[in-house]
Amino acid sequence: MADIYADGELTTGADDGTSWADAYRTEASLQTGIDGLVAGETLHTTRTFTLTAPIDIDQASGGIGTPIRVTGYNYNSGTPVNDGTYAVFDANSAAASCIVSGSVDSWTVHNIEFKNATGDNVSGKTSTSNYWVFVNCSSHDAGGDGWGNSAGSNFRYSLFVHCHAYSCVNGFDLSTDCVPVLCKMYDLTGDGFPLVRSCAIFCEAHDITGDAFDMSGGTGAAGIVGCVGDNNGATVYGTTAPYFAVASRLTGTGIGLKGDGSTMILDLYNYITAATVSSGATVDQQVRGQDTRVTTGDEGYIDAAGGNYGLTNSAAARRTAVVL
Amino acid sequence: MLHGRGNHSFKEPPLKEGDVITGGSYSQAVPGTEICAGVKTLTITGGNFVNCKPQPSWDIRGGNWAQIERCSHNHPNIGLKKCRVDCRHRSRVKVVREVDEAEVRRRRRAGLDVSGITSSRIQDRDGVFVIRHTEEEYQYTDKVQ
Repeated sequence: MADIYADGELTTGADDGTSWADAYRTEASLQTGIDGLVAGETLHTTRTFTLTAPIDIDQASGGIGTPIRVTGYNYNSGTPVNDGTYAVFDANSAAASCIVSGSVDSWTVHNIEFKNATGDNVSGKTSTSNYWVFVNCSSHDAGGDGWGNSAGSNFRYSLFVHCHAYSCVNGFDLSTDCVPVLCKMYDLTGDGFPLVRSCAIFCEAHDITGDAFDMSGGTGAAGIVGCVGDNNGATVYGTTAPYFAVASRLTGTGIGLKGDGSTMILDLYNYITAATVSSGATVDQQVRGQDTRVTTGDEGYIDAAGGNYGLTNSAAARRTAVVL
Repeated sequence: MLHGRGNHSFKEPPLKEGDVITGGSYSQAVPGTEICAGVKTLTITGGNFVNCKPQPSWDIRGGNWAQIERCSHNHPNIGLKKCRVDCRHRSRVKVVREVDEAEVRRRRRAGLDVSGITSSRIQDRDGVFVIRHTEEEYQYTDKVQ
């Protein structure tokens, strides 16, 4: 079992991926290296690969406890360190996607920035890709979605931890059972994150034209906990009962809790000052007969100076309840 | 002024003479859309400028400048001229598409036709049984210019 190394800006070495000094440095050799990975192996990558075509991940799946990993490193003047700095896959307004998964499962991706695809920056193809984990990844400035299905299919049963999607159409266009934790999405012309049999935990969504958290079409519970939504078309949208919003902040323009006319929403311990608190939904915000919703005051704000930002302060201040 | 973010898509962005743009979404619906026609001096290092037409005098060092002819079948809500059913974005033949479970349920709830959907129970690599829905249909694809 061998790990491989890649450096998109290296100009010397054997280009065989055996070490940082001989790291894969061209798009073609990187593809060769990825094609050879098997369960339990890792691609270590640093700096920027400028792509002309998507990287296809369609050969091997990882396994339970033995995922195939892609990990980004800080170049650190030639001695790469894993400190959370992104390695970059740049589609450069030319490649349709940065990476495309051909229905392989159980890959784990850490510290990678995807950008500038003409379609979705990250996409599945053929059939759903399951049990993927993205940790500390960023996807932005796509002609399509941050994570999507423009190549033919999408991700399912997957986990997104501390990932950011911005300046795309949809942030995340995924299949069912995907969970975002500590994720952030903003400046999207479509929707944010689909929640079907899922829950968003401590996520932030703002300036999204469509629905930030879309729970339509699911069965079983879906909801948000500890999230912040500000200036979205709707922060929470659901069409099936039950869905829930707990301990979250829904503020700014747009609708806080939106349904299709028949939706039932459990609305507990939220702070809601969105322009339209709820629309098209029957909302229950009581526990033992007591209203749990807060609509005034400065509840929940975090201010290092010990004060509060007040209700009329800036949009940036309204989003500080969750610090990512 | 420095612009690091903001959702300014499908409208005239509020950029002024001498501004520096490092990020944000300024994408437009139709390829070749001119933005900020009166602004001569901009420095752009990043951001989503899909379908934007830059002024020759701008200093462009980054960003996504792809020109994408979008299909109204894929993007019904961004003000595109409505495509015909058999528009040029449509695939020549029908292809088998995996249909997301959420989509199946949405269509059922909306009373839409689901008769073309085939559902089968399959076992994945970890032994978990899942339902896979597929449908044969034409695909509509945005075209990169």
